[in-house]
Amino acid sequence: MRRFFCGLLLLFLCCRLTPVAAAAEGLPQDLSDYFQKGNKAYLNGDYEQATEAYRRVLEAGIYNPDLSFNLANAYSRAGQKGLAVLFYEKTLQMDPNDEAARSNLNIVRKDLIDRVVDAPGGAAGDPLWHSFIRSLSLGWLTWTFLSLYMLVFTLMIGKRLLRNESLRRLAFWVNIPLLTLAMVFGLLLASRIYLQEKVHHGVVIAASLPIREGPERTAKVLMEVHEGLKVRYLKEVGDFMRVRLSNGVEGFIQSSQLGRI
Amino acid sequence: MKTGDRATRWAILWVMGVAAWAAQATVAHAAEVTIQASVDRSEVPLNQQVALVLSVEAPDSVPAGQIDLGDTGSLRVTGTRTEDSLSFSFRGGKRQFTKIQKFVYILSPTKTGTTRIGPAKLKYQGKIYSTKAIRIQVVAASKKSSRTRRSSPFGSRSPFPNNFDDFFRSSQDLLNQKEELKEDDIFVRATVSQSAAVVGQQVTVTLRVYSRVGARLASSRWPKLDGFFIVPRDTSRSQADQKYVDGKLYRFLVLAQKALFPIQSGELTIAPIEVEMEISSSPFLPVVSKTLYTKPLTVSVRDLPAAGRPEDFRSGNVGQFSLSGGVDSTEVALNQPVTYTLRLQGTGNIQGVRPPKLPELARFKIFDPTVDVQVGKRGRTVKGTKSFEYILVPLASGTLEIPSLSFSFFDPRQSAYRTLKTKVQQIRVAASKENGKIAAVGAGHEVNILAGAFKPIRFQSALTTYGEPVYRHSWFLPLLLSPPGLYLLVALFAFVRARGRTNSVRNRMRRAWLRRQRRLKQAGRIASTGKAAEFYAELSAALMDAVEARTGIAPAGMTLVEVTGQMEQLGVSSAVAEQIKAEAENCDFGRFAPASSRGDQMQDSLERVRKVIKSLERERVRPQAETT
Repeated sequence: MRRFFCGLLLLFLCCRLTPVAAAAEGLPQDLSDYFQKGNKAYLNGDYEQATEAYRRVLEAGIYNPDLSFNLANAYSRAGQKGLAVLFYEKTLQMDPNDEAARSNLNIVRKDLIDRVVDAPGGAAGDPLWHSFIRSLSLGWLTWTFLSLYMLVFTLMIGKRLLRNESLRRLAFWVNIPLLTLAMVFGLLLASRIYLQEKVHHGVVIAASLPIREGPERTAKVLMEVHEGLKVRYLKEVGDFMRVRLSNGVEGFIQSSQLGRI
Repeated sequence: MKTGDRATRWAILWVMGVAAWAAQATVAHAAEVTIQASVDRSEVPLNQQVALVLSVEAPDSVPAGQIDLGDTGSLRVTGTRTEDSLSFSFRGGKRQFTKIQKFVYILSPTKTGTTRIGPAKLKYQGKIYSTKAIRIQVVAASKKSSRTRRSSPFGSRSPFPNNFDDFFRSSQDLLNQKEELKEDDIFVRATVSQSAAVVGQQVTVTLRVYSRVGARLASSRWPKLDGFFIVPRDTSRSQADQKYVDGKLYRFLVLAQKALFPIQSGELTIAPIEVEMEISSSPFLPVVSKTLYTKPLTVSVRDLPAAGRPEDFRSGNVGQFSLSGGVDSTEVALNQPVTYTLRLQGTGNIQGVRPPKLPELARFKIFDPTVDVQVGKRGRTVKGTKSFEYILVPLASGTLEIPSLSFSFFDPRQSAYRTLKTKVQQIRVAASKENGKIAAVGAGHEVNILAGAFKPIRFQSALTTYGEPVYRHSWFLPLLLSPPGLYLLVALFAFVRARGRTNSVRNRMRRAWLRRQRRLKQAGRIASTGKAAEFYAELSAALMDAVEARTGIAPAGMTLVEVTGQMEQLGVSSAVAEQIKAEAENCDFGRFAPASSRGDQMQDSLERVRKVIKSLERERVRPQAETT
């Protein structure tokens, strides 16, 4: 019996540690050098060179909140607000608890031209629960759920195998709150995965951009939006993306002028 | 009668026609030249004037010389002007143009009482036309000062509308039109408000023109006024007035005025001012130009006294001033701007005055001020306001103070320095703004602004990449499914184990079969040791276990006869039943008489029992019904 539990624990730890070990793999020295080069350029006020250096690291496949944050800062200092907002959003997607990224994003947003106000009749933007769920880290949700899930089943199996009636009873009563928590986290994780997979957002990176009534260049312009505006992707139609603003207004924007978060 | 009536009728018509023609002709002839006189008032104070207008209607121009104004009594002509217009009318079916000339005479009374004007006479084409005489009542001088603005006696249509709104003319000019212009008929004078001043004190220079003839300003050229800061004054609304100079009556007008603020001490000289005038001694004579000069002026300028000079006094701060400073709001939220306005008001060189500066305040971010200078354009004295608007952003919550500001200046009237101070301004800065109201400031609690600052980049990073989300990994689903799978396995195992523990016939048969196998092996081992009693006991038990395993009959407590009987009932053939019975009896014999058994006999017994068990297993048996 003891062997069984030890085996189960070992299996769980192996699963838990696998991605960490993968992440800790050594970084090529030149990429690290590029990162430091970007930092140095940033400190010297050469923001274009800084963004270029950070980009090199990014293009090498490094998807990291520190890199994304530094890149956003460099874009912000260089006056490219659209790209700054995009990379702050990416940073927050990786780590929703990154307060520095949230603070800088708010500062940049104050300077944006567009202010989305007054939802037209019947129109509605993203529901509130979207914001709440997105504020939870996907990794944290996943591992918390998996931990609870494993614990719940361990106790269930233990209850089956244990012969001591007191221990069996203890396992049962401990498992009830754990099972409830696991179900809640399971629901949250499912919602988070749904948002991750099905609900996508983008940021306008062009200085100004028309929102049209249809997916044609000749379609009537509904309004003009400017860099840094966050929109929700609805459907891609040719070169255009049907988007929805946070106040529920919908229209078509050229996909190439948007940066996906 | 009829003939007489007709003749009478024609006679009447002829007479009427002739009369109408005559009347028309008379009217037409009479309308050719007319002259009328009118005055703008019938009663005039001694210090004011009355305008006499002679309107002449004539087909051609009438020279002024053909008009005899006649006796004006106690009124003296002090000015004239003319106005021409053309009238168009139909008379007798013909177009007719009539020229209307207005000869305006400005008459000044010389004594009180009733006087008479006219009648005026016009001599035109050998005929004399005259007006009616007009009575004018001259009363005592009005108490209203001549400084009060008067309407021009020439109306708005002055012949020299540029800088003069009056036209100067003496009666002598009118009467002696061909007389030459005298030197003293027109001159200019410049005066200073004071000949002694201190540095920074205002000295006003006024340029006036005095004239007894019609004149207007063509141009003026001021000398270089070194040593002065100059503020021009607006004199466009100055009015002409009269004044006796050297026993002669002149009209005078302020041409220009400048406020001078000395910027150095010593004897400062104002060189002559050059004025070019266009002069007309009569409206009927051509205009001539004349250049006039003022006399040089000297102003004695002293330095400001050193005694009693405040430390914060700054040169140029001379005059009479008042100082105020205040904020637009005394309660604000953190990071919300406040406007502090410092206002300096008074007389003096407002543009050059230097108010105090707001010092650096540690708890405020101060932006450069917006300066607004308002200086009055009119009036001899320069007055105005200088305002400084500072935008202050509080950097800490609590009660913050803007200190008192000090401003020192020299007051020339009192010949002393004065110092003004603003009040200390207290601003309550709340840490946050809630529900549109400023949140209460915590007593003594101050918070530095740290929010809103741009967060710096990160210098150290492992640059570990955030790969695919966990749920997308291939092992995620197996990991997710393994706990319930494992649980199912365990549950199945437990179920099976629990089921094996029940006392059913089948379980007994299974357990009996297992016992039989074990016991046969054990019996084989015992046979080699030669222990006959143990061997046969084990062999007998194995045989009974075999019966139980095959038929479900529990032989314990039953006789061999009962066992074989039940076996036969369950379908075991009699021969096999008998063999089992015989082997069981043989075992009993061996157990209880072990000495009679040898090793080879025990081996034979073991082989026989095995054969019997095999035979039993080949039998078609209906196992006994379930019993617990």
